[in-house]
Amino acid sequence: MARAAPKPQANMGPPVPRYDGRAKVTGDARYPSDVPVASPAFAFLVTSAIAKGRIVRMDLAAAQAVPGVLDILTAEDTRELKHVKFAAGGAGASTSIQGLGPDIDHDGQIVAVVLADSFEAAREAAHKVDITYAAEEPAATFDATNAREESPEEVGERAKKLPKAGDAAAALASAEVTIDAQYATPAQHHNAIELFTTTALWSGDELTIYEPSQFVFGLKNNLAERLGIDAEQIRVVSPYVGGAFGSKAQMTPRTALIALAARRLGRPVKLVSTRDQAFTISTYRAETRHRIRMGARRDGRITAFIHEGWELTSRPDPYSVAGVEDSARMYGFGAVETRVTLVHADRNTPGFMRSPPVVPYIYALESAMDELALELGMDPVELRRANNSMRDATGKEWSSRSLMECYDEAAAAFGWKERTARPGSMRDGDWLIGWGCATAAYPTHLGPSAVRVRLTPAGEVRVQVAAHDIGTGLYTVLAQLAADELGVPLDMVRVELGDTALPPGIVAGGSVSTAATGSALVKACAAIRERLTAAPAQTTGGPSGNKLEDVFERLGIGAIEEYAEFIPEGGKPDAIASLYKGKPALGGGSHGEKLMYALGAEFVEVRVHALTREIRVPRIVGAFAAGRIMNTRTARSQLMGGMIWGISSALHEATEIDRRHARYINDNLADYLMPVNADIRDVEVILVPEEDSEVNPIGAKGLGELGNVGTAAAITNAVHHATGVRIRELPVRLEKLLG
Amino acid sequence: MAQTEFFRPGNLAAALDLLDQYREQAVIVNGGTDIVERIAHGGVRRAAIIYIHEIPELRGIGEGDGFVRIGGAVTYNDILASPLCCQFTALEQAVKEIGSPSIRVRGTPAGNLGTAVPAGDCCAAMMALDAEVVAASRQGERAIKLADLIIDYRRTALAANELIREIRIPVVPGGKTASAFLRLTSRKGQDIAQASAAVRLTLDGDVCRHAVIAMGSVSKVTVRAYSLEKAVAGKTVADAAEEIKAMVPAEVALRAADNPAFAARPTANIERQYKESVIGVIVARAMMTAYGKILAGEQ
Repeated sequence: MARAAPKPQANMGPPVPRYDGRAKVTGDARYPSDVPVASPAFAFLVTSAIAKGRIVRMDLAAAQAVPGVLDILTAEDTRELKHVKFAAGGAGASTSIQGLGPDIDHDGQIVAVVLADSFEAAREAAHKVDITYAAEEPAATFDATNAREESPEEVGERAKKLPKAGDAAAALASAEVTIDAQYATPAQHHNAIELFTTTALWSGDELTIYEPSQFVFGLKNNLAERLGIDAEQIRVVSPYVGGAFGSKAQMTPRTALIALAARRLGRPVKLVSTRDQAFTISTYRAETRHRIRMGARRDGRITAFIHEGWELTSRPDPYSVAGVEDSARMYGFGAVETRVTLVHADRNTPGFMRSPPVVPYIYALESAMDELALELGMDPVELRRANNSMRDATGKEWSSRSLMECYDEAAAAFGWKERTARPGSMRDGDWLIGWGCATAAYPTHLGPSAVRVRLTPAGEVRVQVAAHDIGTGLYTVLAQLAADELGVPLDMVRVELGDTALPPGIVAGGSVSTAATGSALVKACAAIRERLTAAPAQTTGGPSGNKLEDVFERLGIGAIEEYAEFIPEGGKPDAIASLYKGKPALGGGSHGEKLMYALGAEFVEVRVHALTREIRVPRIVGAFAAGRIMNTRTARSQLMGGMIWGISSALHEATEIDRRHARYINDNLADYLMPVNADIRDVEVILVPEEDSEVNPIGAKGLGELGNVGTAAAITNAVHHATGVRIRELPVRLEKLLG
Repeated sequence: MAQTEFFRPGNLAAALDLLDQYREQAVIVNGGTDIVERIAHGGVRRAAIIYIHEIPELRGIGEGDGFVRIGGAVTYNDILASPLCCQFTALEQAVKEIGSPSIRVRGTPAGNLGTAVPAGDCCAAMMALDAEVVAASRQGERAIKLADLIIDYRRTALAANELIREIRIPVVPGGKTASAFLRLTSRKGQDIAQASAAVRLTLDGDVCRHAVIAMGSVSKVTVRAYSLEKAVAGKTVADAAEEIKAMVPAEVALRAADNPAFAARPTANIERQYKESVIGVIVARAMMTAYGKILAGEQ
């Protein structure tokens, strides 16, 4: 188990086991849809079978005749719901497509909700809702004739906010060595094991929602707006989340529908949507395209970097990740030019998915770096070293940057020096061997948080914050931190998360939870310590010892409870008030005074069969630096899981789109391929010590979204090294390597 | 349509009575790993669901008349726990590849044959092992060779009132004969085969005296590769394997017109090229595996 719990080095916390591990493996942890409610009605969604057009007629007779059916909500019945403005990630509504028709804006749009006494009856009736459509030809994705690419004015407006430095075109023209390459990444869906569920329960005017969420305060406030009621009437409960990856950060249309249904029926309503519906009723990672041009001197110094991105989004919503913000700052480029163009098609609105901007954009950058290294005849690691810089092209300085330390540690562990450069030069029988590497990067975001901490004379500690542990380890690290700060044993700490009855925490996104809630927790604990030390040294006849009980007795109180608020440096003074209103403000990354990123280097070996082109990844080594590591066990798990997802992105995962109908083809876990255990062999995680006192009070950069960045590039680079074939469109499928 | 009725007959005779009564209006549910999903999603709607998985007469594994006999409701897990069944390496290897433990505890080889999709792993293994099924109805029983059972994509020669009572695999004396199953998938488990092959090889010295070769996922049904069987006969195994690697067997039929399972897919053309270029390698590997078994003195 030494590997599962790496020995802490400098600035790393001990690998205590997961606080919630036992509850989760024994089934004791209650996920939102597990919470029993009295006599619920069951909801089943009816979703559109076309991507664009109108509902002409909806015949409900057969559905209503199914025994047990209570009600069927259609567009007519939901007019009272208010429209909530779309917000591009973080909080707010996930899409501006909120109505049940008659206009259809994407495939799988919710068009009716069937309510029945049993799940089976609701499903049966949903299948019997007979809909007549007037279908129009939809635009499915890039290159569709009726897709709408943004105008040059719109693109120019966005470009004003994107990185630019020097005259990149001129630098490119005069460069000694250049490359010009195009890359593409596919659509992906989060496919968390826990489906999208909602249970709504009214008690008079008070509404309780059980729903897996990455931001209960956001859901509470936005739902109130949609229902036209006061937010104080709503409580949202989500103590455990069975996977989210960004898909549960925002309010999706289903929640208000279920709340409305429960009010109409006067009875709790429970929805557990299906796997295929999950592809269309929430968000996803949209497909992207890239063109990268780079110019360099013979010695490897890159003098020009031009990165253009194209991103797909829905017809109405300008969702964009614009990761040129990150790619353009990764190295000390001479001159930089960037541009991002949105393409609107008849699809559901995309949204945050683990490491949204950096996954596609760093993949493109790190592929291009490998192509440039080859063009220069340089070792790929040395090309990164030649361009390693504490300043980006715009002159902004890094708060800390341990990229080459990561490269050196990972390269040593991997045995990189044994690599022979020529593609196809390493072979084991019928298997072609390729070694590749790439940079992983994730911006260190900063966010506000409140927290409440209570200490009793018996040494029991309770930590409360409406933040979320989406499998990431927040329960564990908060318990650890509280135990440390208050000097009590770990098992005396109880942590309560994910409930709007608690002080608000930040959205579980942007890898910000540990830093934000941890920083607030440290403040609250300091206040408690201060009150303890304020106790008189002795009172007449009272105890004089230093035991906690004695101190409390001298203080004459039964417990100490402190509420604290943390606002990051440079944050707005009303940041906490905004949090209560469901508006999280995230800063940091490339947006503050300094560049703040967690970084890493990933090395992979691939084996490609010479005849069948089967691709195997027998080993992957990643070294990562992310400031203070709170717990080496949970950190390793996060990074390992990330790298496995990276392998999946490189070789398996893609949402296939039927271009004729703008519908998702592989909307189930049998056809949407993810690796199984047997696909994953050696995964080694190296934690590189790093200190950064500038990022936040606890010095943690956050690493939840670091491990899956760069992996795909490392793999395509390795595939090229093995075969000489450069795959510029993910995923690498066997058939792309034929011929 | 009226309500669907669910029946759980307690014995074979009762099941056959129900089948005879409902015929085309009935759907048989055995392990249910394929059909239940189709029923739940409305793809299959019948007046009667006849659940046969717990019928005692269908649950046994035995031996007799030169056959290993596998009951119609025997599960994949039962197969893996049975030394009688695991003497057929191809069968064992195919069953191990199917689904996940939770699928194998429910799913049945008979169901795999009855479903008759080209990627059915058991179909290829059973075909190479020269298996037959015993189809039972109220009118009596008949034996059907596997190649005659599977007649089209998701279509078998079973009559509407018949069910698979038993699968029979002929026992071939060991020593010079062994079998193997191998498949190629995009990931290593819980995936559908891109191409699969099962081989039963009989040696004469170092020469292939006789090989039975079946291929999955390269046509609308599981097919015998007679062209390869002919090509390898009389050659040494090493020569035969080398020759097969580069061949596209005549039985591979992936033209969209021949293949409803294939027709609608936008990537059909790429898939066809890929399958054609790898099937020979898969067969050759399966043959080498069987050869290794013979050399190692295993059946």
